[in-house]
Amino acid sequence: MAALATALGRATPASRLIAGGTDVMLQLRASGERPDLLIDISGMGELVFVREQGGRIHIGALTSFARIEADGLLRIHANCLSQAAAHVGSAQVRNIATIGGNVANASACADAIPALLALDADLGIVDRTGQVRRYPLREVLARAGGPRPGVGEAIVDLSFASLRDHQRSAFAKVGVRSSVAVARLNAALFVTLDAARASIAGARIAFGSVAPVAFLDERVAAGLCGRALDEDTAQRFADACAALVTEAIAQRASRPYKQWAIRGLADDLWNAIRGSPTH
Amino acid sequence: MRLNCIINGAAVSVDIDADARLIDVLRDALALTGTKEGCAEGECGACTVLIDGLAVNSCLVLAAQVEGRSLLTIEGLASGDGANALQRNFIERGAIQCGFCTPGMLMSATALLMRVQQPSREEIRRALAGNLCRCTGYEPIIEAVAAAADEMAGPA
Amino acid sequence: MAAFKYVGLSPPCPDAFAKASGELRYATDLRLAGMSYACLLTSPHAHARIDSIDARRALQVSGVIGVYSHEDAPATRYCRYRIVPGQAGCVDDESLFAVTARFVGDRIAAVVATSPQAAREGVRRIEVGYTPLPAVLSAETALEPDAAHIHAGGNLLHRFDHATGDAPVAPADAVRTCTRVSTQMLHHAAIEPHTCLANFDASGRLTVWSPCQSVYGARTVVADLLGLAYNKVRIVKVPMGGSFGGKQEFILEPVTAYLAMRTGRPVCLTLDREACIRSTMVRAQQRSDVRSTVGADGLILDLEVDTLLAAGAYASSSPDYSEAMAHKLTRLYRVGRYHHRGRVAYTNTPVAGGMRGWGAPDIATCAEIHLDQVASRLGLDPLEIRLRNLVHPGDIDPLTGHSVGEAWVRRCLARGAEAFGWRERVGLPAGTGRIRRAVGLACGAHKNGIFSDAFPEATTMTLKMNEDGSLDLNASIHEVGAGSAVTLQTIIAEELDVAPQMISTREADSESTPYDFGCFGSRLTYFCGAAARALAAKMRARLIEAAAELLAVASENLCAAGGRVVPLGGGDSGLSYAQIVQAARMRYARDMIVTHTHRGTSNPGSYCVQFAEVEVDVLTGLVRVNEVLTVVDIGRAINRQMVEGQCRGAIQSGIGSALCEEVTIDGAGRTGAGGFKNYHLINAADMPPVRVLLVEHDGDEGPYGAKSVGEIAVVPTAATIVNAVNRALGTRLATLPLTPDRILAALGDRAPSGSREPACG
Repeated sequence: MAALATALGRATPASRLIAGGTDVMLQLRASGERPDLLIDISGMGELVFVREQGGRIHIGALTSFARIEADGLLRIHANCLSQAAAHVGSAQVRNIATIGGNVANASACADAIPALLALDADLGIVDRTGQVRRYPLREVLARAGGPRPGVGEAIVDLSFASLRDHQRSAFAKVGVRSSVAVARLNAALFVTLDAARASIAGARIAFGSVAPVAFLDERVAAGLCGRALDEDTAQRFADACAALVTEAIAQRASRPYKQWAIRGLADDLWNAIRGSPTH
Repeated sequence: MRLNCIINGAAVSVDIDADARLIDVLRDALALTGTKEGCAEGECGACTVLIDGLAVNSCLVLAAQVEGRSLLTIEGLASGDGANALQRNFIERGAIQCGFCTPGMLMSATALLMRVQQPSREEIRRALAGNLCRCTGYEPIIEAVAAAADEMAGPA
Repeated sequence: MAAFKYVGLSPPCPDAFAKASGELRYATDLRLAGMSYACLLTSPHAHARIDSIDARRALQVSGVIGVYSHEDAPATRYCRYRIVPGQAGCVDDESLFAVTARFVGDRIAAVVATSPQAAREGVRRIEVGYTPLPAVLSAETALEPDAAHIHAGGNLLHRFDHATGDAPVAPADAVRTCTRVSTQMLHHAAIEPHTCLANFDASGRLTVWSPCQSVYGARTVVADLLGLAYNKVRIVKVPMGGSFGGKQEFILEPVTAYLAMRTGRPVCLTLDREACIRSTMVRAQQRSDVRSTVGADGLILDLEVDTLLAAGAYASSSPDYSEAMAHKLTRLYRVGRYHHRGRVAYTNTPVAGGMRGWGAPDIATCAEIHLDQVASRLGLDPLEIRLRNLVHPGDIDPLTGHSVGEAWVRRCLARGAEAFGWRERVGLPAGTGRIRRAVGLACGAHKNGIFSDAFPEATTMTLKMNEDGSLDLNASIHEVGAGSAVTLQTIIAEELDVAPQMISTREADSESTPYDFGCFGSRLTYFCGAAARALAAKMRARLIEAAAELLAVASENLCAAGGRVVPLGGGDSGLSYAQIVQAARMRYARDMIVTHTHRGTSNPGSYCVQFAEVEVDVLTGLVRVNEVLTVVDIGRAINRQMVEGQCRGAIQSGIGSALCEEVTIDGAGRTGAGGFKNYHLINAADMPPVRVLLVEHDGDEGPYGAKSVGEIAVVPTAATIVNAVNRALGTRLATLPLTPDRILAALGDRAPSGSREPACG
């Protein structure tokens, strides 16, 4: 960590940080850019972990998606993140792509971000002094312009609250193929059920691939609150998702498709939350 | 800079550029041209090699990132002078046509069988989803992997 | 049916272990001493005049050897598709480097450097002054009266009008139907990127190493362009990592050869995937209006097709390709009257060229989607309407006057329908929920070789037997990975009754293998296989003749069996092949070597019928193909495993063309597909199980009845999938690919922006 801080101290806006490298390698090759400093953190084993501590789940920034997908703790506490990890690229990419890199690169269709938003994750970010500060992911993503994290910073871990037994989460995605496809739409839903597990007490939902970066939507979430787990709610939920997507990409050529296809994702999310098979 | 690693069981030390891709070091500096480049963007899987037993696209990895690691490439697969069980099943079951995707397919299959002894057809399909083939329609490849797994597991 | 010893078995290809061990050297793996690397600068504009090319900054890059463009290269125009000098249908409209950029991806300049990195950096630093010109991005707009001209002669590159027969008077209850079907630009997607190496040595000899499909064709184009005698140009076919037609035309050979001549160094040119998609060639975008009059009994009385095809920026093979589209349907169906008009237009888009099936998948997709609509209007089962119209063995193709030969397509359809359970499944409801399920079928016809009234079919091969009885076949084999070598080995093995492994083969090399047109036109098994069989028969006769002399018996009393020449009726007094070779040489100074020039005189139809079941998600528009059954009129499978392999690979490609593969063009003429990230091939996870049925029989001129498979296997696939989707949804989708967007749009009121399929023009 000390070495990382030292390296971060030498970073300039022309420097690049490499975690797994699956995004950075392509960006460098496409642009022909040769960074003044390549900080390769991929060998930092201490940033590879998944553990529960103090009622929260902590994930090291360099934890690969293969590891996240296979992790038993996350299957229990963060089903949406397990599912998102399983949907990232190919086996080869999941073996090296890291959750920290996915967040730092923050592409519009990054699969981990909707899941982490739904889980209300925060990030640990180290700066060039070696100090780690924590920021809610939703705030980091909302930072106006500029790379996230900033120059001389690196994500070291992510954390979110452990799941309580009346909470559930789900992730859904549609791409061109069933696997190894960039998301055309992705979304994650997190719900807290009431004590009788018959209605929804609270919800968070995040949408990807309909804005420059994934975002939480309060209105759709609020529309679920207090509603029963029934067909009527399912229909309202699908309508709300469709309305949101229609508004979010009003000017885009993909709108006619996405405003309908989001209903497929809403259906998948709903079925997963209800615990019944999709078809 | 100097890269030290293990490739196919042998210690290797080679001078590399800091921003060199692993695939270029393998193919050019080390003449291990069995690893193929089909897309340079991690989509086709022809460049798949194993790093510490995990399949990765060598076009997406910096050579510097494998310092101290152990690599397996297609050249390290055959046992002695003969085909191993996976290679033999690929050959016998029509899993090879033009052969350009074959090294990557074999490496992905090798990684799978190191992790899962008797994978289901679905597990095989998923493990190979990052390896594109235009010739075979995949089925002979999937069958070859399943047959090799059966063989390696021995009689039930 | 005759019993075979080797035909129909599945020995692996001779190079299989070399491929499985990574030892086989493809073009990208070759390293020549002192090799330099080329990188191309391509046009960012769809249509632009090039005003200036400033290479000064590129030449400052360390390692850059030279920068080349139209300013120093010969302005000679050539046709990348030409196989023989003076070939009809070839238009010389392409030059080494563009003076006017005609599509995004057109070759503007090349940098040669000591490393690929330096060459790429050099390309980035070339400054080109362009004056953009109006771009014509579709065949429709290209033919409008005020469209900008892409070449001096205007944009109408080619037109044809073929008609045969008279339509019977249509009964009152006949239905007239018109369907406009559009197929898209496709990338061949061989996993091996396009690569070529060349060296011009001090003695003035040019050698080109290329994974090509015709060394002799490449030689005429390169030698004529560079002003070299044909015997100073050597083209060596090297192992090929897939072609699918994408390496059939001479795209990189001319420019690489030129760069080697200019620099005096060995040059390697490898394209990245984006350039492979954009700057090599694509399957043409075309649309066809198919109009038919069909009687209530389902008989096709009249069939009219009007095709408009976008050639892209250079003619390449598009004129011939479009003509091929007009010569498929009359080999497939008995049609009262057939009339096919076609127009081919230059467009400021990637160059269209040959691709697996050569026009046959394109027209089958149009006709078979149309026929399902007709069947639906008549209330006929799609199976039934086809059974009533398909050709019979021995029918004469009215357009060419030649026989369709042993055309067993009706048996393919009947056997396939039974194996698939078509009659039980076709009536099942698609369902009303999120997932709709249905089956579809389609038929297709293609050819066997290049014999026609306009083009000869011939090849020459030499077979030599060694003192140990092993054999060397010297033929211009262009192995594309489909098993050419093992197929010829097997045929010779069967004919001489020796193990296939006893026969060595080599690949084409214009310096040392005999003349052959090349590997295309589905001619390898049917025609070259027949040549190999005749060659082996010649060798057998020579062995028997020598043995007769050695044994002092009449040759009529001898036969060849088990690697020996033995008396008819048995006995152990024969001679092994090895003994004959040795004795003939020592006693008679006679070598066991035969050369044979084979001529083709027929071109029967090859046929394929396919069945599929699909599931469509009406919320996401995604299609899942559950299963495919393919039935091929193979005549005879020489290598069963390779034949099945061709069938399976074709399905992967055909499903992609039906559902997700497309080289899209934006309003500025830029290709949307920059790589496999957004040009989507069907992968292992989405590939359905495929069953292969082969219909075998004797007849025709192919070896043991064998016919072609590699191209025909893909012909009906796209239509099969589209027909199944339309059945599942009750739609009339006919614009390919059936992307989720198009599927949701076609569901009309189910999706807010409902759009209709375009009507016939």
